[in-house]
Amino acid sequence: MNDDLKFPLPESDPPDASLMAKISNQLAQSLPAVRPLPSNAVLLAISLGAFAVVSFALAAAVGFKAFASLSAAEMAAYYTTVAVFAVLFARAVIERMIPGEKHFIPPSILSVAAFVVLGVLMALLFSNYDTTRFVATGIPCIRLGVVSALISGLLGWRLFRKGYFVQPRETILLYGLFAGFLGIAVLALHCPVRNSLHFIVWHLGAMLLAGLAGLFLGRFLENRANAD
Amino acid sequence: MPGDENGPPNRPMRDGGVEMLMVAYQNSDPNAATALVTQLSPPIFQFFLAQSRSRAEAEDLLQDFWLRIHKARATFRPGEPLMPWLYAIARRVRVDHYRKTKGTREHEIISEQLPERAAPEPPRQASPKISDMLQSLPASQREVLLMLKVSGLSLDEVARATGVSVGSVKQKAHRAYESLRKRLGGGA
Repeated sequence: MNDDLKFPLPESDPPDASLMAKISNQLAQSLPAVRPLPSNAVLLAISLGAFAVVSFALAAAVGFKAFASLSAAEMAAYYTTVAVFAVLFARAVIERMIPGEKHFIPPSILSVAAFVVLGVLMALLFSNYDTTRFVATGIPCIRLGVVSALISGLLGWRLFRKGYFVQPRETILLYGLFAGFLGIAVLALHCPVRNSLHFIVWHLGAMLLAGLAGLFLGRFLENRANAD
Repeated sequence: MPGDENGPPNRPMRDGGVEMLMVAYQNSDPNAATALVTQLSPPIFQFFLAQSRSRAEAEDLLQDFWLRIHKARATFRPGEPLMPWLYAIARRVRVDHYRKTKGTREHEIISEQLPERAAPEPPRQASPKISDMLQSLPASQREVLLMLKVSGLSLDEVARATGVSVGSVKQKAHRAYESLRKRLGGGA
């Protein structure tokens, strides 16, 4: 990089000592000890562990009906893809919780990639595009997906609320998508319907709704913080 | 300008001392809080001042910055670099302030054209020409230049603070240098 800048930049112009003393006093007035957030690896392990436990618990409550309808190869492809995106979403959320953390992948690319890859995978796995009882079979799925996302979102909020200081809108959008992805994981364990259109509309729809909820919540919290 | 004219004049100590103070601050040590404010406020204030309309605005931003640091202090992990963490929050404070005052800024354009002022501000030490030129840069280029050349952050630290790649930081800095050189009439 050619950065041979040959002129002076602004000199140091320190703040008033009285201002710094005032700030110090303000900080000292309420200074309880805080425990730093754990490392990214620990946060990732916690997130994925919680993701697995909650998705299996919710799927157990409604039944693991997908196991009976999927072949071993289909399960391997389907569940591996879900697991990979769960890791990517968890990592993306964690990276944005910590100010100044390196970003592995932009949320827009990750979100689009999740929808496209899962949609294409389902189109390849299930060649059935029949729309008979499309809505009747779809409503319970999207309801289960959204409820699962809501439950996981609320469960994870206690940890997550500690870290959306720098990019609240983007971070909470990703958090919503991650919670929505848990809905997809629950449906992957539960839903026995082998139909591409059903998956694309109702399963991915649950994730989309959760992402939209995250987007609106992020905007609301950011606007509220700015209004304070 | 004292020292190397291209060097970072505001970089706080790099030997991990500030990080240790941060850990003590997390452990509710009021002396560490005071030491951090004393050491870190000047470069952060400079960062705000170079992007503000007035010294009073930069002082408001500095206070807001420390309130955010206080709330977010649990997100600093010992062993991690402090500067990107600090500047990511400083940057957010500035962005939020800009959004908050965007409406009022438009109304103030008219009143700013009036010559009267409540009280004359103390003259800045910075060359007005350089300050004006910095103000003329796009915000993203200006903040990268300030972090690199005034605050003394490395390319990697700036990339982390701004949430972009090192390549993007290099590109913005290069464009800022080119723009400033052109304004100086082909390079000083």
